[in-house]
Amino acid sequence: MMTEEGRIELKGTGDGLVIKVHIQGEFDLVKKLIQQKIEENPDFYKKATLAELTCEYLMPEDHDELQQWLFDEYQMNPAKKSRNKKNSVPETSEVSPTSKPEPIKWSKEDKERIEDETRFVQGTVRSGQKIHSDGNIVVLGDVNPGAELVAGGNIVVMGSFRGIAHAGAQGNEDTFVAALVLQPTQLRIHQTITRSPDGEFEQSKTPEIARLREKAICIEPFFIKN
Amino acid sequence: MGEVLVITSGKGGVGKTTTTANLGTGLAQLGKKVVVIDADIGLRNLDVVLGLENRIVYDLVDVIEGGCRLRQALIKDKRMPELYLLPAAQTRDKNAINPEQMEALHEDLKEMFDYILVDCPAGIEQGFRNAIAGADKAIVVTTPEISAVRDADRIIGLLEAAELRNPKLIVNRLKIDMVKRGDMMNIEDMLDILAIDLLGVIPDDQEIVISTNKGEPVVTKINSYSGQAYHNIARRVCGEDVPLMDLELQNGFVHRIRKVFGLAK
Repeated sequence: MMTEEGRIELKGTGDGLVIKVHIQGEFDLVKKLIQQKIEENPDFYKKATLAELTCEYLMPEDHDELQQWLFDEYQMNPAKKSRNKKNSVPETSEVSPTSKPEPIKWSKEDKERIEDETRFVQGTVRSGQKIHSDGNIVVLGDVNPGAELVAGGNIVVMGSFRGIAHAGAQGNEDTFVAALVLQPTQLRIHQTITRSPDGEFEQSKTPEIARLREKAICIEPFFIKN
Repeated sequence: MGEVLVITSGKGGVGKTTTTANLGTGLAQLGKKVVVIDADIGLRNLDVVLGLENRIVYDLVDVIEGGCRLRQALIKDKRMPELYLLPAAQTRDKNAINPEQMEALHEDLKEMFDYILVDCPAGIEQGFRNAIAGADKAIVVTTPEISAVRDADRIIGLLEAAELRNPKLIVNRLKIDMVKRGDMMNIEDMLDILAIDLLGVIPDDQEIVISTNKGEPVVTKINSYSGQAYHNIARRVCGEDVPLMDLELQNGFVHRIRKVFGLAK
């Protein structure tokens, strides 16, 4: 048998079917191998959306022909973005496709404008109060349980923070929540959410900062007393 | 098909939220599927009493406005697998929802749960009307004070006007030694005025304050007197015929339990 595992990859993802051809040689052979794979489970593959088609060792025109053939034979609709994939070497840094909605992308100008915008709040933010800003929020006072801060950028509390904070609410992952005393009910950064542990736990006496590290919210001191 | 019970009082601070939390937990202990709804939008407490405040992402108003699916807003209790909380919004007010929307919500919840307990806000305005909308039964909580009884009487009248007949009464925070001295209204006096069935009596108990502050309903502490009282109420709600505890026994009872646990001399 000509087929070897891994030489032709067929993979279902949230966006559709991903086909990767890792062999060089006759175009007909490639077609035959793909056909074999598809016939193993025709119901699953037929009429699938073709999210990605890469064939690193084939000619660009072969790529287009292959795509056309997949459409004719199996009614696979190519996804728009697959067009610029032709003949490219797979990028290792590429984020794997998921079904999650893409966060809003801000233009550079928008981003700069929003980052410059800061809302200052003086005094205690109490339960039931909700402070919203597309930019940053700085509270010169405490934030009590039941209060909510929602910012597109960063949140800084010059006092005790005990409420709910959402930093990077509009899609910025590189945001943080910092407070002199950080005891949040709940912290949200971008799309990640975390809550304080149940029961008694030791409180840090130094100011702390919460930020995303590998999709997890990490809290660490940002000022160490000498 | 589930049953919607609204817990109300008219007067604030008589123990509606504590009762809702304990009755909900008590029913879940008896193996029922229970959801407790905090209808006190803008002044929510039920989440704190149940110790679930830090889990809230979506709330009642989000569900009603279609901001999330119902199941997303339901918070599973950390102790009882069959108990869920639907929290109130804190940054909104009572006018964010209307009685028709509450009724529709109850219809959905009835499919999923055996008991739906609604913690009513104090007062007789919009919040009260939202909370009693679509309820099948009402539980009126009062304390042995003339002001609380007066408000309970007013509430019973309003419930009857809203076609919620035969509400049940819970007397909370009864101090048996004061009643004995004649310094506090006794149960008979209250039943005389209110003329409704008594569902249970909760003695005044420091354990309640401790458990509320810890976010653990007292009904989980079966050796406490008030916990036992809530447990009995839960059983009565389920239709069991449980006699009222002999309140005179309080000292003896607590003493005996303490002895068992080696706490009493």
